[in-house]
Amino acid sequence: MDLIGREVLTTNRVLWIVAAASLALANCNRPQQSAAEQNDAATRLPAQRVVSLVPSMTDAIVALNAADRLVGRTRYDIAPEIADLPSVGGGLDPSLEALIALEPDLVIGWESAEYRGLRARLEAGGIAFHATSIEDTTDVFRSLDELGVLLDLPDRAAILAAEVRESLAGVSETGLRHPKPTVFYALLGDPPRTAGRRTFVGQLIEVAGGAPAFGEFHDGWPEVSLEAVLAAQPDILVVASDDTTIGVRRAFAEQPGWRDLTAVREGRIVVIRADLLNRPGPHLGSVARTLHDALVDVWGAR
Amino acid sequence: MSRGVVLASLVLAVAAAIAISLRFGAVGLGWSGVWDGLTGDGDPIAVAITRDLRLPRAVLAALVGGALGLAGATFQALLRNPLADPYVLGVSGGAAVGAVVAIGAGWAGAAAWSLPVSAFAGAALAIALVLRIATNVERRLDVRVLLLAGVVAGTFFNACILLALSFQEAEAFRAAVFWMMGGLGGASWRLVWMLALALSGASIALLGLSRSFDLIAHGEETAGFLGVPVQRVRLSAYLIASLLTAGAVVAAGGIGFVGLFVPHTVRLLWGGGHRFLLPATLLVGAAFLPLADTVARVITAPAELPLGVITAFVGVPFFVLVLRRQTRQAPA
Repeated sequence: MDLIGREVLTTNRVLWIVAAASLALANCNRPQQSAAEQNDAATRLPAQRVVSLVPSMTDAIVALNAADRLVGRTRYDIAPEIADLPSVGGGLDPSLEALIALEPDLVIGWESAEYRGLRARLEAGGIAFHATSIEDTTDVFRSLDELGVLLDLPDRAAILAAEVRESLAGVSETGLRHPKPTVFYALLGDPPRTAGRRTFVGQLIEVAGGAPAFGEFHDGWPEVSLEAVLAAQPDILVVASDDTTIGVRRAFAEQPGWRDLTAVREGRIVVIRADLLNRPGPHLGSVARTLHDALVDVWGAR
Repeated sequence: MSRGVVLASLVLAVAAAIAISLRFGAVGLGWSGVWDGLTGDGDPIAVAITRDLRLPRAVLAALVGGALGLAGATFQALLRNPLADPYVLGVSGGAAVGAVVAIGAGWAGAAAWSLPVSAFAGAALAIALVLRIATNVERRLDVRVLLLAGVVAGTFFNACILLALSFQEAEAFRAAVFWMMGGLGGASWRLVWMLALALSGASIALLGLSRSFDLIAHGEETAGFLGVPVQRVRLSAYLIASLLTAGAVVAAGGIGFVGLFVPHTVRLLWGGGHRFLLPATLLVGAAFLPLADTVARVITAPAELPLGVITAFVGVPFFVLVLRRQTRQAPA
């Protein structure tokens, strides 16, 4: 937090909120964090053989120029630096055998109940487990700090964090045409879900110049009925998909309900690659830039 | 009450159920808002919500309920077993596997009609398989083995769905929930017309068979002596019931127990031969499912419960009740 430049704090309301939230979160997280540190203290830090089950943390390790410390990857990690490493399976359901066979000294995973068995077995075998939870941008910066400690690269981690903050601040300075559009992040389903205001996606939308539709939801990924979306008539839809923009727009235009949205009729659907938008890691700044540019395309610049 | 009056009031009940289903949802419109939306006089949002979302969903719910009720009544008549139901017999599961195969193999993308056709093939294969398992060496159908075979087949089909979906990473979980628990979120007029066509054809054909069903209820041999072409009736009725099940599964996924308790309710309330039982079952099913779907949409709004959860919560106690009564009547 100390790395946020004063001029950014004064010029940018959005990051102000993020920073304030991060301070609050850092404070209430303190006991939790020290517990995590205690846990990690059992290992021989810095970690030399690491497996990260969290793709955004894997990205961060690569961005810290520490890809040589990684000895495995999940099947979702396809960055060229680590594409040749052996896969341990999915991030939430890795193969315990494959993990142990790689002889890591540190496994980074989600703070998730599904892991309890896995974590206990790894720790019984002398392998440290670091649990992380990334909900919003504050957590992204906290996780970078944590990586700096775990890998004993605090300076590089601080520089990387500063770069991410700087690029986010640069994006949020540009803004969109007024009035500020309401942006609905659509996780398709029955019923659909969206991103709460205090998730990294909700914050990315604000940094990129939009106002999250259903801003009354703060945390997590709430279900909202299609009827409620119709009643809210958001200005722009954001969809994470690997399909082309044309394909996604056509699919929405054919769906009952969705096709009645003015945003869909007027083609204001923004498509961002799923592995970019859904990954709260060191590329946050460039994702915000991509999102901003796409929003400008359908809404106009300030 | 005469049978005609009962059927007429059931038609009104279906209309009322659809009206209630139109009235309630995540966005409060009120009766007048719904009416204005339907007539096109309301604001565009109310029009979109009622015409594009609620109306096709309510009508599709009625059709699915009717189709499942009718399929259940047909299976119960043929098997002379009150516990028969497309879900319990594994026929829904077979249809779902057929649909998932059509999607996975890319046929559904290439030609839209291949999805219902494949689901129908899956349903027909499933009932053939279950009957084959349950028919012993003396070629007599053992009813207890039949139910067991249905449950085993249904479990196996669920495993097949999970297997097929685990090769398709994206959204596989949501798809699995749909095919195993059911839901009407994908309602569209195209599905409504498809199912309406199948249901009207099947209803007419089954009504033509209703006298044969009445006689088969006294035993297949007796029916044969009285001039019923038992094998032909059985084959066509199984195919029609499979068609109805497949149509319901394509439209709404695997929804259980509707085919079980709807025919029973009709029998308990009014009794009667199949000429009355079949249309009454169709109508009670068509009134029940829009109401169940309204509960599924409203109870945790704006989130939605899977529709199969509601029907299971109504259907399973009913199943247990019927099972206990049946075992008391005929101790093994």
